[in-house]
Amino acid sequence: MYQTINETIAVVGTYKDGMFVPRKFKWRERIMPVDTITLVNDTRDGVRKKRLYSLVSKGTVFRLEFDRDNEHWLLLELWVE
Amino acid sequence: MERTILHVDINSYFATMLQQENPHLRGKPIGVVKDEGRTCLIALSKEAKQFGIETGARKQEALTLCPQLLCLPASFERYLDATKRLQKVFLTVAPSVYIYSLDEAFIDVTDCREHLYPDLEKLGKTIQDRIKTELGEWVTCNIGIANNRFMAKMASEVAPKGGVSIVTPDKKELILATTPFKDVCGIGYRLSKKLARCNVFYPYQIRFIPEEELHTLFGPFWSVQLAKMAYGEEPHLLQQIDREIPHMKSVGRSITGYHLYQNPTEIKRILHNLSIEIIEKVRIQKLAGRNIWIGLYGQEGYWSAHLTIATPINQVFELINRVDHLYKQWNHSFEVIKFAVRLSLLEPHQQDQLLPSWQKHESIQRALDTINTKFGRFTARPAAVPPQKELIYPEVTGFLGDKLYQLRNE
Repeated sequence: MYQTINETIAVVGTYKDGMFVPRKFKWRERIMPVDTITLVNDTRDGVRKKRLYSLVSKGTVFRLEFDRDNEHWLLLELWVE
Repeated sequence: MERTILHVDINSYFATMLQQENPHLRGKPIGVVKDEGRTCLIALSKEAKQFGIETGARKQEALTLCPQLLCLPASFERYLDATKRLQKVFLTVAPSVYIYSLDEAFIDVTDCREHLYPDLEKLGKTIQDRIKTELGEWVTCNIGIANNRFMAKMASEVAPKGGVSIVTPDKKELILATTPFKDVCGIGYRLSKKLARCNVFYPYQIRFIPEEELHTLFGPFWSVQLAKMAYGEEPHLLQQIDREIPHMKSVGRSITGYHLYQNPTEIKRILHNLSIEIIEKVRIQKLAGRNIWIGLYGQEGYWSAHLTIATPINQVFELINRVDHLYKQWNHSFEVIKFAVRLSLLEPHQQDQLLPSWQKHESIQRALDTINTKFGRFTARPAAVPPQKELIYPEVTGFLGDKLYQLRNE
């Protein structure tokens, strides 16, 4: 099941073909490497644009949200067996 | 040149997207529910279908068939984005693309087939590869190719998972003779039951029913449609795709509650919440409507009322007033589980009214629109709606009945 977290995180990454690609993120003072990005989706609410990333880090699936207007990252959920 | 239509159908779309997102779910039986706490399975992974579970089954029934079934909530905004990306992939193949539902599309390659796609099997495989590149390696689709949409859709239904099926004249007869009516586009549950009572289970069998008898049994409309289907011709439902629709004719929204409601304030608040969503859609499309309809469904009853007015409306307070007026007619004879509101007879909003009261409401509405566009939906809203945590947000349906709105150019 997905466990709700909703905590602010810091993300570093690279740009590929004009798109940001997360490489690692810092959550609760731990550096988590991004092993695979499994899904990326763009959503919008009015003019507010958000990009949702699903990625695998050390075998765990994380759902990240990037607010494209204020460039704010949020760890939404993680998968727990 | 003969028409060439491709029908692309993503396999077990909602469940497949969850499996694409989460490698831990791949190869496992997954059931998709609309939201946390819901019990109706709206989609199933191919692994779950192997246990004999059917779409629409209750979670408890499904768990008796497959105790290891994992039930997860759908993520409609992600599916809609994926569909928009699929649309872009299809438009790289040919300019004539029709998104039929969230997970299905027709591509007409008639004009570009000769020079660009002489090998249709190869084209099908190329589209499948592009979908994998765009959405992920776990996403597979069936592709049916035929000279019309009806046969293309049927071919993709009968194709093996992840396969490409091209309808040749020989194959066409075989498909018509072996595809049960439940897999035939345009045949609903009741019509298939009626056909079964006449011992007709496959489209091909209709050829042996005399025209007069078909007319007597199924009436003037369905007798013609069934005769077309028997020969693999496009029925009315799919021909409608070619019709130009300048704008939506109606905008409606329904929701099933988490429990039975009997408190009038709670019921009205839910109807108001649905009204806000309707007005948002209507105003974005610069439309206004004249017919207001509300429906309430209980376990033992159903009630609806409607009202047609002279002047089209597109302001939330006006719609809420009209909904409240209709609601007053209800005698509260049952507890409510499902709520529905619809604004129809839509037409382009062309002229503002000069009445001061209308101008006042319009200026409030514009302020609401500006705030909610900038800061997010429901930031500013009428007071008489459910509390923040219980607000009902817009969602897309698999059928994508509001595709004119959802897939509009922004």
